[in-house]
Amino acid sequence: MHKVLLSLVPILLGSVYLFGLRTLALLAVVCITGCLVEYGAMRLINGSKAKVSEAALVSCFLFTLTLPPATPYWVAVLGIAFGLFFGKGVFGGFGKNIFNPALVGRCFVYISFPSYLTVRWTEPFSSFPGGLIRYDGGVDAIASATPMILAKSDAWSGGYLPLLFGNIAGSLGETSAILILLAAIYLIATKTASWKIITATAGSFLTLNAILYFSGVIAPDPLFSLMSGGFLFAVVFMATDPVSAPVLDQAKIAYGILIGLVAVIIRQYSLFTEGIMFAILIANAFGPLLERQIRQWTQRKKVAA
Amino acid sequence: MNQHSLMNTTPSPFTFSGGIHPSYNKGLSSGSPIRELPLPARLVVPLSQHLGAPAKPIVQIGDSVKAGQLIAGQNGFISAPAHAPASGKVAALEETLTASGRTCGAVVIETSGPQEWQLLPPLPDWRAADKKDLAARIGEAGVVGMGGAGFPTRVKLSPPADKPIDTVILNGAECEPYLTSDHRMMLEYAKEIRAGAEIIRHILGAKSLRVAIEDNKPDAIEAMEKAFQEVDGDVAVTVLRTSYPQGSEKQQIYSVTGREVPRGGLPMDVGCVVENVSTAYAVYDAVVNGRPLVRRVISVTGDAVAQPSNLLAPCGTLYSDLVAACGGLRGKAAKVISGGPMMGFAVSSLNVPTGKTASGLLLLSASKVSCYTSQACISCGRCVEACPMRLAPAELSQCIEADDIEGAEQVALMDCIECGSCAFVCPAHRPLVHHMRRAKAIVMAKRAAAKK
Repeated sequence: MHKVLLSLVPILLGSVYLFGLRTLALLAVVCITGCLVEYGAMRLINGSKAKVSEAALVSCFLFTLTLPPATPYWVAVLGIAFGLFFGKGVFGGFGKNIFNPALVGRCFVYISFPSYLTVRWTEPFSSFPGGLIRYDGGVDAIASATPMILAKSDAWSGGYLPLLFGNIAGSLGETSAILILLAAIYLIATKTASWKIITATAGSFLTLNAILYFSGVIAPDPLFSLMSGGFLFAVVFMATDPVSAPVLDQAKIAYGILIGLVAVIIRQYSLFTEGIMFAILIANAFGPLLERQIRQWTQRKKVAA
Repeated sequence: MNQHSLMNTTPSPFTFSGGIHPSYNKGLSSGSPIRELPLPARLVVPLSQHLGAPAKPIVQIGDSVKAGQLIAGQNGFISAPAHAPASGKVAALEETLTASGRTCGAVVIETSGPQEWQLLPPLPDWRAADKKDLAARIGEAGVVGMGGAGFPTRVKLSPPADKPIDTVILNGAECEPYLTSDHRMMLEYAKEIRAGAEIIRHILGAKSLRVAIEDNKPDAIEAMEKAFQEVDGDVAVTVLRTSYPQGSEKQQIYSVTGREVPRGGLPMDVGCVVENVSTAYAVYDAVVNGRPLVRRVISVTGDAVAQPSNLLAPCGTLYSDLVAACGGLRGKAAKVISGGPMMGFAVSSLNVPTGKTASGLLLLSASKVSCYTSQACISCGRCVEACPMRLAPAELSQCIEADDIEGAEQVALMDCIECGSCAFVCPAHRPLVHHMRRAKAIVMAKRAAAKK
């Protein structure tokens, strides 16, 4: 778990640089709330033996980094409290949850408070030392749109480089593809994240996106899709959450493919701009079913009676 | 290419899925030649040195016995007799703690005087002998699988008529870290092992003979190549990729032949019989010399023993005598394991006897032993990748923790071979093998009760 936290540090620093010191304040508020809620939930389950697992901190970090920079503190507090209690506590705590708690919280605030999560975006600071010495971007920076939203109406003209470095409007930790890729390499090398899930998800996402793009459906090109929005961040940190992902190898691949396909479909055909969050939650729900079926296919043959 | 060689040495065509690569630490004892242990004054011969019903003692306290004399008879189909490892006097019939932590009956012999052997009639002309008689002889001599399970060899060599055996695999993989007894046997008793393998093949009427050795033992591969050169028929040394657990029967059959033993099945279901190299030696000794299985080579090793050695010791030697013969302890032993570090049992006392299946005694200092607290399973699936039986230890252990033994059975609990690969890779340090062993014992007890 601490490897995940460690891998998030560069992304966190990146988002402070891009969006200001308010990021840290938001993170602190979320972490304090998260720990309190986790402790409360564990008190209900384990009584006096209650402990706050490191996984709760991971959820807090991930949740914070998926929020838009200007998210009000109270929205963040509600989100993480809902995620950790209803996404994890009610299932029995660490190791027992079906859904990714950070995403449950994110999904809850996304649907409940859309005005804060879908239309109030902040332009990043552009010159050094950027947000490292400032609290936030101020009122002027609010009310722009993310590249993904712009691309939906064919209005994005910035090319790929800003997507790679992250100096675009977007959620705190999601904008810089290169920082996320570095974290992914670290997590795969240390066997913390499953490369099978990451490659299966990215592969199916790119494939379906390419099919749509090249068959003339109006869609952003695959590379743009990959680097825009929260796709990379969610694939590397949330799809690979071992607790809510399947255990069997083949099921992991099927799970990844499901996520990739659903993400493209939601991005392309639904009212929501972002699909990956729903895609992972849907795949979380289907994970056990996938696993059951795959076990039936792969079990050793029984000896003839 | 060696033009004179009739032998084929080939890399194994397959390798099982999963498995792990622990540090092998075999160098501690692999270079020390087999040494005969000075005869201990007291031997505690367990009645249960094999899988199945314990043998029935036939001697009384005060009886004089000769080395090789029958002291406890075979008791049922899956059982094996026990013989006196040395001549002397029966001092007691008592319960003893064994290395696995269970207790069983034992015959205590006080050794004395010049050693006299009472052997079975030798059958040097075994090629002419009846196959059934040979199998019976091997049973009479108390030969059991010496790789660890202790399955009576007589039973393995008497498959039912509808299960023809076409391949005999001689298991020289010795995939357990630290252990070197089979390795030394292959180097020093190659001719005898070859003769034992030929007897086994002859009894089973098998066409092919394969000697399976991991590629980390090139000298053993060479020794076996040389020894098996003169053997007729389809014979080859199969070089296995070093990977734990290559020495496990089902994994080895797959690596050598590509055949998969079905769930709940036996090697004979796919036409194979696997015998350990030390067992082959015991078969040779029983048939050609008429000597029952009463002693074996055991590796006494680890960083907490003064001189790591491979000792030829009578079955029934107390572990304390083995340690004394190796110069005693070096520093303090933090953990003592009977067998290898992967599948062996931690023992609480050196006052337990060896048996026919004791391949090693491992003494580790505190620096080699890790202490962990286990955590909740995060379903990371590392254990699934490592499991050579393609099980899901994560799911099994969670079923077992919730006391859902039936649920565990449904996800193939009984297929578990307890190799420990899952526990080795588990980042949460969960005691997975412990869970499996406990649950399997519950299921076995339930099945036994249902039969009655």
